[in-house]
Amino acid sequence: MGSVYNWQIGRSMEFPHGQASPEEQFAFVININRCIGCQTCTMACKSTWTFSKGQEHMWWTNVETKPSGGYPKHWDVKTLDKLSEANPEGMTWAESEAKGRRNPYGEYQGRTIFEAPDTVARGGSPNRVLGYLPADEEWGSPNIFEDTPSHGPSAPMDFGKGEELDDQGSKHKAWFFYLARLCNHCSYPACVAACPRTAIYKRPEDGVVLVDQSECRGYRKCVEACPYKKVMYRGTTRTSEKCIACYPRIEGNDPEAPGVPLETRCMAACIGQVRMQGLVKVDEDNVWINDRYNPLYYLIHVARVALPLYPQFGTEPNGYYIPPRWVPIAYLEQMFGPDVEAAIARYRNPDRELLAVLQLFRRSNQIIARYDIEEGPKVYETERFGEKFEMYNDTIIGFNRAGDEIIRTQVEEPVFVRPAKHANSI
Amino acid sequence: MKFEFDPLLIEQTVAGAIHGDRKLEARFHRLVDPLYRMEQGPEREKLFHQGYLAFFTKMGLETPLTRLLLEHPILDERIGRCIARRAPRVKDETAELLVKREIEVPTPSDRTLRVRISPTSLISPDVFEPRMRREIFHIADMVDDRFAYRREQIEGLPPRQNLIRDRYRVLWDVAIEGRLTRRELGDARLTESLRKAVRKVFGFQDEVRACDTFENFFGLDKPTHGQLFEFARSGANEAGVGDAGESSTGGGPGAPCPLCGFPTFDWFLFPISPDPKTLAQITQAHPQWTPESGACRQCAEIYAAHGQAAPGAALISNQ
Repeated sequence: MGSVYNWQIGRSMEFPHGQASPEEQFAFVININRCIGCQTCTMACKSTWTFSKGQEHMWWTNVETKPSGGYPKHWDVKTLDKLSEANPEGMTWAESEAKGRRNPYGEYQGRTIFEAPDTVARGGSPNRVLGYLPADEEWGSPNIFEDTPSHGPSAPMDFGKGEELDDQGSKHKAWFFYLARLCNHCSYPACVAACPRTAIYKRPEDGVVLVDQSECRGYRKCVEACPYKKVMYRGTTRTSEKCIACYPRIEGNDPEAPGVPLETRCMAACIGQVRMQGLVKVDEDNVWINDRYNPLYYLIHVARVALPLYPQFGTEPNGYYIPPRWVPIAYLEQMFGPDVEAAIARYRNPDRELLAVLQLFRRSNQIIARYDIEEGPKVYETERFGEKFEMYNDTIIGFNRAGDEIIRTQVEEPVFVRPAKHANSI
Repeated sequence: MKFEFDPLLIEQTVAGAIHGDRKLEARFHRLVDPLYRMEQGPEREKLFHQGYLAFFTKMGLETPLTRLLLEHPILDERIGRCIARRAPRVKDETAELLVKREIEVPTPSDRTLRVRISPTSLISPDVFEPRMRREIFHIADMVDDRFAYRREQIEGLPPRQNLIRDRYRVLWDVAIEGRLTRRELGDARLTESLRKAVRKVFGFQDEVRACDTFENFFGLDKPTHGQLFEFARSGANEAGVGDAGESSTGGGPGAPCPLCGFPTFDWFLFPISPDPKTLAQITQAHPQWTPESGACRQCAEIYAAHGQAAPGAALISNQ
């Protein structure tokens, strides 16, 4: 067992392979506050990659209604239950005095899935990774419990009332939210750790995690190990398959924009404009290198509004979420770690730069490598949650990897007034 | 009896059975891994199937099913083939008897037992066996001459047919649970729920009579189809949803109305000479209905209202 550094848990941890890092890392941010659960991303992925025989139950990307829904059914509850067994003293976090890029959320003091060898296998050897193999029928209902709120006589999960959405103190009894999921292309993938044939690997150029179909022999150890349950078994080929991060698009091989990295199909199809995907630079410990004007770097390390999904699993997932404002903090802390309350506070009252960067979501199919802001006039001022809020009509400009401007937009929504001569006409 | 297991069921059962056991996994993969190098196609599929089947047999994964079948030697005598298919979910597991059509006296080769099994079940016999044992018991009764099972044409309106079917099902389950209990294979919770089911489907009986009904059928060592069916049928008559021409009028409290099918406690008493317009309206919608079948007050009022409106409607349509 080797030792690797995981910045999301702020410490080194055990991992079956040695420390390694890609030249760039595939990553994405999803703004849960704006997701309407339309499943367009789900269908974009399905119709591109998993429409063949034997893939009927496969949804590399899906949107589930939390807290009740899940694909496979109750995937996170089951993994958390197992992790709780391994952490009888609780999955706790310690405050760090100096938080930086190496430990922005403090230090996780519990055991990760790599540090909690599950149970001793029947053959006598412990598993490499804590996990479970979902039964066949758990994959059968990808959108089970859609729009099911947390509270109610028939609802098993009651985490209390939701949080305040305004400063009038009103709270909803019932709440739910949509969690869009795909493979997190983790820096320390559990599927890679568990594969007995090293058939799964992380690409050195962009950190995309792939299953080598010629090497896979259908052990399903990856399916069992992945805590996010994003590796799936295909009966017709008897191998495992997973999200490939639409790598031909990432590589710039799509005819839409030759030579320039494009966002994945699920990102590009998002009609709610809740997603942004990119490539970030990391050092030898997989800690993000300061890239101040990369929008993902800004959202995760500067504004710190986007957080990793279940960081305590220890895989260092590269999918980040802007947590929903109306959900009880205790539930969100379990899902996104200890920084969630602060992240919501920052998102609820965005500063000038954050407001501008949020305009970049889904403004271009090309990956935005860098942004620039041209300052504009103040157009609005108010007080929210006891704090001053100012809105400036800044212009934000996005550039692709080649340095070409690909998007220019303003904070204030443009208003077009219909000329009088067109009144009552279409 | 010849056995045929669905290849998909075999494959998923083997995968579940070996998962986590390093030694078994290693042995299994030594067998099948070379097949991955072959081109996809029928030959490769055949060899994969043979590999999985070999492990399935070697590990005795069919045992939970065959052991249940051995509890009833008559099954082997009377049924020529058993096909085991994959059930997508545990709750979809069933056993069915398939008999060739239009054969008056079927031979074993005309009979097939089809069981649907979830892949997780054969590796968890403790959960699988109690449930499937009851399914198999029904099949054993069906092929037993003493039980003399036969398909019945239930006369009357759909609510009556449904009621008789429900009562027959409950009585048969009770008769099976009683026999299993005497063999020390019973389930106290299931027995209790069957006791409640008897109370429910024989709603017209008071508690003492329903209890007697349950005890009578629970205690039968050699029940017959005729006994079960006749009791279910006579019970239906007693509840007031009898055959056309039978003497019962209206229904017992809580019995379903033969027109709308909803349980009612408010039966309408039709006069000796009912209004012919109302009768015409009811028999138009329910040709087999007679005043003796009864109807709930609400249905009677609705059809009476329709009857009153009918002449006007006829006049308009004739213009």
